[in-house]
Amino acid sequence: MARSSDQYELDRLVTEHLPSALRFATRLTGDANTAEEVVQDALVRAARSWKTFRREARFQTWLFRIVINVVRSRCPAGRDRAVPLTDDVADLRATDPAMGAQESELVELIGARISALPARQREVLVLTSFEGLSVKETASLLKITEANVHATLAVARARLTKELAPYFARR
Amino acid sequence: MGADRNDELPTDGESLDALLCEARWPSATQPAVARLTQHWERVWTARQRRETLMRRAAALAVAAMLLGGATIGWLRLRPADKSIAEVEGRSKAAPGRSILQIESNPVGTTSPQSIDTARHETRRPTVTVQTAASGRAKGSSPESESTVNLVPWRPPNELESLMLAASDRNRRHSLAFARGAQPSTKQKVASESFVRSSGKSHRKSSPATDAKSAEAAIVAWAVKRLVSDSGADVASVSAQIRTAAPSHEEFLLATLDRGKAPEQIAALRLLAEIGSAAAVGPTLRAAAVPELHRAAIGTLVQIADSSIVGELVLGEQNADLQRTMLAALLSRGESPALEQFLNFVANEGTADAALAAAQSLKDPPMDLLFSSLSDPLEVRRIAVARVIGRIDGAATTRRLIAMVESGVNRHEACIALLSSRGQEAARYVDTAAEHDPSLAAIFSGARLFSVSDQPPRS
Repeated sequence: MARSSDQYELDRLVTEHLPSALRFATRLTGDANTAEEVVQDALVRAARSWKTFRREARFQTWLFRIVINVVRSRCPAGRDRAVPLTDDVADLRATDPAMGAQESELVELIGARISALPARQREVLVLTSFEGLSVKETASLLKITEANVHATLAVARARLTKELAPYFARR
Repeated sequence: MGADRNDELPTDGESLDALLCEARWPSATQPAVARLTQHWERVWTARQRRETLMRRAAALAVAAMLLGGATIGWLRLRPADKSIAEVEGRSKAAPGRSILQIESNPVGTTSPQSIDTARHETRRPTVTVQTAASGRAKGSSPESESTVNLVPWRPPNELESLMLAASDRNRRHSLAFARGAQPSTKQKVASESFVRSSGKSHRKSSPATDAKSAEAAIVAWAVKRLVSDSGADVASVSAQIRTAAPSHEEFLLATLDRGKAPEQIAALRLLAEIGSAAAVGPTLRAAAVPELHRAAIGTLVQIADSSIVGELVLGEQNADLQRTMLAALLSRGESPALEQFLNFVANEGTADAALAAAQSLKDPPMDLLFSSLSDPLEVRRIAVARVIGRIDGAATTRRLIAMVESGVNRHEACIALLSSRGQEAARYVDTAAEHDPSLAAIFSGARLFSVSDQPPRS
């Protein structure tokens, strides 16, 4: 009976956290379709290993960990999509910066730059800056130390600062 | 993190934070969430169904294991319980009944039923001994005396004594095992007496070993009997040890391997009656020993495959043994054996021995022979016709004549008639040849295939 109640609760939690998981996957991958596929895989894994979920952990953290694992398995280490900012921003800066349409493109470009960070930096940045997780939770989720979280976050921010420098200039 | 809209270049983290706040990604659409929700429902439902099935399968497997274990345990314990119940029930309810049952079965012809009944009798040895003394022994109860008055009693013969003692030993061990008690010294002495009487030492005390020892003693008794009495009925002795000693073949093969020559011959005679294919190899080895050769051949013709017998026929130097083997092949009444036999008939080198063997048979398989007249191979049809002709007999001749006149296998029937040594067949051949020119032509052609040692009929 306890198992049955656990199953019902898991079903409810998944349904409740599905939008946030999809949003998180979108931030990690930078693409809505890819994010949907990632979440589908993550749901399959969640159904397969739901017994590993412990009540003391936040369900969102558990689900995010599965999403991260799926993303990593789809994009193995060393094949990150870290693309240096080159002509895109320059072109945008060369055009008329006052145009509203371009403003929209620019904010999306910031998201794309974040999603193009190396995997670990992207994960740390998204979790801490966009999903609202504390450093401690982030460290626990990624199974790294808190110091490592701080360091990785600093590197990611420095990289973004550098890559988005033209955009700062435009602002 | 509100939008920081200053026009200066970013120099600190706040500006970056402001930019990050403006970051946007493709928003999750409602259809995408709906699709994912449906996907989750499908995945989750399938997973739950699978887990339910696995739980049920595990429960079924556990139940099957328990049931299997219970069944095995019941099967193992049941015979012992039943024998105990029978022993106690019979001894309490009808103490004199078993003696009556012994009388109802003639002692000279021991049957399994009489042995089984006699087994119960030995459970009260005191009564048995007293009745054997016709009630003159001291201490005989009125009940036993009345039994003696009702039926005459006779002592068990040697085989029955062995079997009864073996049965008693097994039962006593079962009882001791079931009750968790060791048999008393007196019981041990009594139960081991029969083994010593057969000249075998008894050292192990497990029930399985005891049963084996008892079977060995029974087989040894049978061998000894055949050695001492060459005219003993082998079939009867074999039937007795087949019933009393399930592992008789094992002990017979051991005797064949390690016994003296007379014992080996006796073992071979018993194996001929109750041996299986497992005994063929050791018997073939025994056939290589000159003094065992005849007995081994006698066994092999009974238990070996027809192809092996055929090989033995070819290698046999003794004409009598060769004829014996050929007769055994034909008397099997099986198609493979008949084919082997017909090959020897078709072979001119062995044809005479094969035909003589066929003639010596008292009850040849005539139906099989006549059906072989329609064999697709002409060589076999001719061979079987020669065999039928040699077997002869009034009924066979009439059947052959009917076949000639009805036109069924006429050519083969003519060969058989020409091969026959009977007067009726000879008269028919002469008469038919005179009155029917077509038959005369057939007989003329068939004469080429008929037995060569026959004088020409015309």
